[in-house]
Amino acid sequence: MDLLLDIASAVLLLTGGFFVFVGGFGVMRMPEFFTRMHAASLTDTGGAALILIGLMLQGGLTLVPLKLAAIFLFLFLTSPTASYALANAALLSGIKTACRNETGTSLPENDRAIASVTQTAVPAAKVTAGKTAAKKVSKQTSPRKPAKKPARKAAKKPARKPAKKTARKKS
Amino acid sequence: MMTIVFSLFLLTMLVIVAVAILRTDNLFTAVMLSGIFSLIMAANFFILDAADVALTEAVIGAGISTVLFLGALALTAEYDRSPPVGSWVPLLTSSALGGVIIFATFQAPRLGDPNAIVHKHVAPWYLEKTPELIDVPNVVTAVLASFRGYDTLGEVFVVFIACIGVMSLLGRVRPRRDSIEEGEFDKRSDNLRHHLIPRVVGKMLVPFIVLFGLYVQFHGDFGPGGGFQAGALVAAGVILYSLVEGGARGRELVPEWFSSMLVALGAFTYTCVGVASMAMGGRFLDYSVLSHDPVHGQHLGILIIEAGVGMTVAGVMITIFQAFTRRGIR
Repeated sequence: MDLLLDIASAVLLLTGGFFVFVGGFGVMRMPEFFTRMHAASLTDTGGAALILIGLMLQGGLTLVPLKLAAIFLFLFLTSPTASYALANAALLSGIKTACRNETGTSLPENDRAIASVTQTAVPAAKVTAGKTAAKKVSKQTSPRKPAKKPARKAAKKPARKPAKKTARKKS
Repeated sequence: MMTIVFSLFLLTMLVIVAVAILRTDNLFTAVMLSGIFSLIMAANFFILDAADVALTEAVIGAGISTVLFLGALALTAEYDRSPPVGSWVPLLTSSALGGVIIFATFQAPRLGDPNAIVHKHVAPWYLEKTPELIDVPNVVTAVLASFRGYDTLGEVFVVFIACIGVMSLLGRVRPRRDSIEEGEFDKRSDNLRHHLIPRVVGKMLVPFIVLFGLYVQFHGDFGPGGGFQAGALVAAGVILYSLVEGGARGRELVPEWFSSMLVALGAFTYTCVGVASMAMGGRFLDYSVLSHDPVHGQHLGILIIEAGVGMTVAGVMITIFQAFTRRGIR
């Protein structure tokens, strides 16, 4: 019985260690933020869970497994939440994924999610650009001097927009 | 052997993180790294068998001070101004100081050396007399609360005065636009209310954090813990609630008058115990006279002053945090 327990806990501990190792390896080697985060979250859910269960088997019938179970529960709740918060913050701050499917185009879900985030910024730019354009038209009939400034502004805004578009196409 | 390997690893990490903090331009990164620094430091303290200090470092260093730094960052810019380059004075000064410290370590006794001076002075007396005079298993608590009660009183007042100083810098004046903000507040990104998962999990954890804080408070006689750690833990629970629900809801839970009253009340309680022991015929902070039995009197005194310490520490943390969140509303 003891031997069985030992073997089981050894297997769990080794698997957990493997998960942690793979997670660490993934953080170093994965191509971009979200995949790296996936690797890191593997460490603190899969790895931690397996190691804690392995330790619980070693604890025997004492208070130790109960304490470890409490730690397990705590980690099980908090680390996915932390991963979620991190991913959400990354998405909101506009980090884009480099994931592609087999055909080489980016994943549609990712695109939509990013579009919904970036769109909040884009319409505002459009509106101001439209306004300055309208001003330009109306002011072309008026004397030359004041017309100069809005014209420069209007030239500046559209120049920026195409750059954004190409950047999104690339991803 | 394993301990030495582990502490060498931790100390190396500590140096790496410290250098990283110095090198980074991004203050946000620096704050996160300093949280990691504190966590490694806490693990280090734990290896040195200083569980009480480790607990405090983990809660305050890695938890609350990170939040307070972030609150301060919300008021300033995210990037460091590039420091003046080419001055040799700071480098020389720090190298000289570092050299002196390294030189001093050669003279220091080995870790855990029983013949070290610190272990020969009053420590043996404390260890010998604690079971007889105070009878609590945790000698740290006995030393902190009873033998060195004056020092702890001083510490509580240091925390108290520091709170007054911070508040006078941050200001307790309500911003003029406050009435609008309370309503508008929720739409801003000040809270996590629109993020369901962190909100639910965060709120679920708050009672357990506070419960653990109370356990640490009242179990301080028997295990690692006491007022300082417990106060920080309870404050961490309240701060977590404010983070997930927003500053306004946090202030509903713990009103500002309450947290600042807590600060004063804790220090007042501590002093009152001292005065009471004087009134009952003993010396200042000599708890033996508080009850018919000296040992029981000691227990009672330690319980009350630890409660006072806990109140002050929790109050200070919450008050400073609330001052930051209030300032953050822009």
